Amino acid sequence: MVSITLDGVTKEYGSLTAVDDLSLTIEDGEFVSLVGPSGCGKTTTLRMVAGLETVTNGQIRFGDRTVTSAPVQQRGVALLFQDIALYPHMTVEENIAYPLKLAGVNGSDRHERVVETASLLQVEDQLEKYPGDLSGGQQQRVALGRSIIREPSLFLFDEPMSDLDAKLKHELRPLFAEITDQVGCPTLYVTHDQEEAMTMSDRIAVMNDGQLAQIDTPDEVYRRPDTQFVGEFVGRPAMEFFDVRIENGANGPELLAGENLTLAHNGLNGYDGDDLRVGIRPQHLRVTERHSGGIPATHVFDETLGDRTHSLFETPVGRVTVETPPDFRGGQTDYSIEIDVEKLSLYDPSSGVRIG
Amino acid sequence: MATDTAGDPPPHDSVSSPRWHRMLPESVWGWLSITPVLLLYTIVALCPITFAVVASFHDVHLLNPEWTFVGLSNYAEVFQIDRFWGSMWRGVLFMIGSTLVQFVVGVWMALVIDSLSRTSRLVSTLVFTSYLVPTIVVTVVFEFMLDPYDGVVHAAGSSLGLWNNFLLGNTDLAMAAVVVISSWKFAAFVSLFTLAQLRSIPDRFYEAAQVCGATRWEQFRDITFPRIRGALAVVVFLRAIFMFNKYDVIWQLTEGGPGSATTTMPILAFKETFQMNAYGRGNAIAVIMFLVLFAGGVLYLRAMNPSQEVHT
Amino acid sequence: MSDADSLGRSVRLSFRHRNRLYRVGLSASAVVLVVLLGFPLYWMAANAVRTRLGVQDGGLLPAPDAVTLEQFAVITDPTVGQYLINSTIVTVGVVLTVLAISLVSGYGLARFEFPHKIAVARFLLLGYMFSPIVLSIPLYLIWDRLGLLNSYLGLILALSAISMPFSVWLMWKYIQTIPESAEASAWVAGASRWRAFVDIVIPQTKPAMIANAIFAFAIAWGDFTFAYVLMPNNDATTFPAGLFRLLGSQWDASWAEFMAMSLMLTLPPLVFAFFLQSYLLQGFKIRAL
Repeated sequence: MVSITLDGVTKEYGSLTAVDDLSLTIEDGEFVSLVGPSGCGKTTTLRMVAGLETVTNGQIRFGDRTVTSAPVQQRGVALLFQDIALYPHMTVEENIAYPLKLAGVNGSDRHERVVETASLLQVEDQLEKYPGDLSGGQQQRVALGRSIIREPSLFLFDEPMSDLDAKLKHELRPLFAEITDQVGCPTLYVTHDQEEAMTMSDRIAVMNDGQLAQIDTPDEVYRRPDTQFVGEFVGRPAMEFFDVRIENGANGPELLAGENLTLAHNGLNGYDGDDLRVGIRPQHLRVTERHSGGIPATHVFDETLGDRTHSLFETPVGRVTVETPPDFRGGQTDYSIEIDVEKLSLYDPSSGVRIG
Repeated sequence: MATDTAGDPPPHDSVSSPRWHRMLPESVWGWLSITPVLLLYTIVALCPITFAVVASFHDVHLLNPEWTFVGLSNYAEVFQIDRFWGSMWRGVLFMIGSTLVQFVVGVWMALVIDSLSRTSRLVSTLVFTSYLVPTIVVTVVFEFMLDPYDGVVHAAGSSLGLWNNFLLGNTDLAMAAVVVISSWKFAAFVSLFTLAQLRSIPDRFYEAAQVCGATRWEQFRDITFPRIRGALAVVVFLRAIFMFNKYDVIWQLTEGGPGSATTTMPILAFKETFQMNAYGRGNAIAVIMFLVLFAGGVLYLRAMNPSQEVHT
Repeated sequence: MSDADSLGRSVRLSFRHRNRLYRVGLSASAVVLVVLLGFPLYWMAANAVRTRLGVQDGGLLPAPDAVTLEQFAVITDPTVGQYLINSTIVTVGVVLTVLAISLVSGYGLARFEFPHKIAVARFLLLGYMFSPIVLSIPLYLIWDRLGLLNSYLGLILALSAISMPFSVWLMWKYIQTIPESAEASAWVAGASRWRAFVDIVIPQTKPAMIANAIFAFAIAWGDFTFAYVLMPNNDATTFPAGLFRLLGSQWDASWAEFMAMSLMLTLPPLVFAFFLQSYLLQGFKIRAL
């Protein structure tokens, strides 16, 4: 088992740059999610690692072996596709055994290992069936079995759960985690679903526009997004952003928005006179009775979630979502919203890059 | 490939050096894959057509290997002989007549099959059979049915006073008979073509129309017809081209006779080549027919842009 | 209220009338079609099992004492038997050639990107314009010089070529509908491109292969023009051209025997038409150029 390294990997299609100078290391046994909106280059990256796409520039290494131009057949990776890609004309047993057949393993050994793998995935009683006769979850298990049977050097997932319903996702997430753990090789998991990435990964790599925006543990990425994009993409509801100017007031620095709206007092020493973009998670906003401080807000709508409520307010700085207690009901009346200045993330207003 | 450096450690045992075919770019593989088709086209179409053009400039006697260059005189001769213009006229008549009959009957059959529920398999099996059955079977069966002694259709026709002797020997009626018999065989093409289009119209269109209160006629006028119009234009064009070149059914039924009553262009080309042994002149006619076809083909590709009309 | 009621009723009534009219028209159409299409086939079959005398007597249903299978003994005639063998060899050859080439070329068009691909594909469509009579006149002398006249190979090549535009387009369009990921997952597992093509792609093209096989069959089995011109030798020719020669010859055969031979030629198409019509229709759908 080895680590996987991408070193300045670039992919160009004509004049279009799909992946731009991406560097990333996946340690042995580590589960890394590559997450981002559609078209951000995450699937292209995975396909380059697999060998299904050529690399325009840069290097890919498995351990210290350079595989940048090695054909897909010789990389020894396991790859789970979005559309599962079981062979419809083969039985479950033949599907799982196919990689072994290619490797020249003889019939009885094949059968033994298929049964072993199938029982690990609880599909041992489906071996005679054809993929078309299986449920979506069983198909995923079979596909998983087919990909792990040859002891891969790297596990790749290409949005394997994007077509599944929520219940099935919850059932499969622990299974994927468990199996990849057992196989023990590095795992690269591509998804557009940030929740999936948050719950399964050791580290999350957020991609935007072909570039790596941030790579860190789920916790860090959630708490300290490196860019405005990451803050908006990771975590639900998304981080709220305000453009502010810091000015010294009576009680210390104040956050001013627009001409003369004060968003908060007592905050952000050392930025006097600066224009900033501040980001804050909706759970760090507080709703109070209408008073002169805070942001004047008019309640619009409540999303009742049972354990909490997401409340939408109209304010002079745009619509703002606040996480409120489970029993909060706004009733379309006036409130004030207070910002917990301690929890603010600060960004450069033009580049959206974190400054503090 | 450029990123592989000499300093890399030796690859794992599973990695052999790239095989030769990896070095070929994708485009070479693409061209290689269609080479067999292009080769067949070259052998069976491009070479013969070139050959025909060359031969049409020569006086060639089939039994004599000597070719004499005669320039354009084969063409001059062809355009001067009465039978050329007569055949052209009869060929166009046959083309228009049989295409029209096939079109009307074919579309009617398709609509009926598409509307039938229980018996449609019987009708569609018959249509498919008439499409797949060899032309010679059709002509033999019709020759039998028109036989003056044992023919059931002859008996019916003559007792109704429609014709007296062998129908296909009747100078006035032979062309009409050939049109009808060939349409029996080839209307199925129009049917299947149309039926495939009809079947690809989603039911929800009709359901939506029914919800709005559309009658069957309105559904046909507003949904069915606009959807199959393009295919109908294509099929009429294809049938016209095919019928202009139809040789087998006419030759089998009448050999161009009686007299020259059913001698169309393909029949004339065959006769000139193999009965008059004027191979050069036969090729000149073939070249003229090919030019007509080619113009039609280019027109077809231009007008229909088939690559956009293909539905899978 | 009452206005709306009466309006609703009158619409319903007229709908019922129209519906009945439609049903009657549809059924009548179906009957006419079945008779038009079915009668020649029925008449052929009915007379194939009649004695010579029975054929002369006519009658819509064969009289019981005039029913016989002896006409089928015509197959033991060496000439007829040879036609049948020739037809079978040529048809099998054409079907196999068409399947092989359409698979390879269809795959290439579907999976490889190369310059001018669409232009080439459209060029293939010009094959629809290949007219057997136009081609066979020059081919006659070419084949003669190449020694391909009267050879199975020569006829198979000619018939395969005119099957190409349809079969390659069908296979191309069909393979496009097969997700590439199944193939890619075989590559990931170590299969070479060829191996994945054979193991994964080909089995999934079964419907398209069936449609292609039937169309190639129809062209080869029914071809008259090429066989008539390119197989001038009576021993080499296929059934359609052979039957035509028998018809014009002084061969002592009755209509009943001709009907028996026609029936034998019709049986395979009939079986295909009945059991495989959905594949054929699928093919026509894609052929809808």
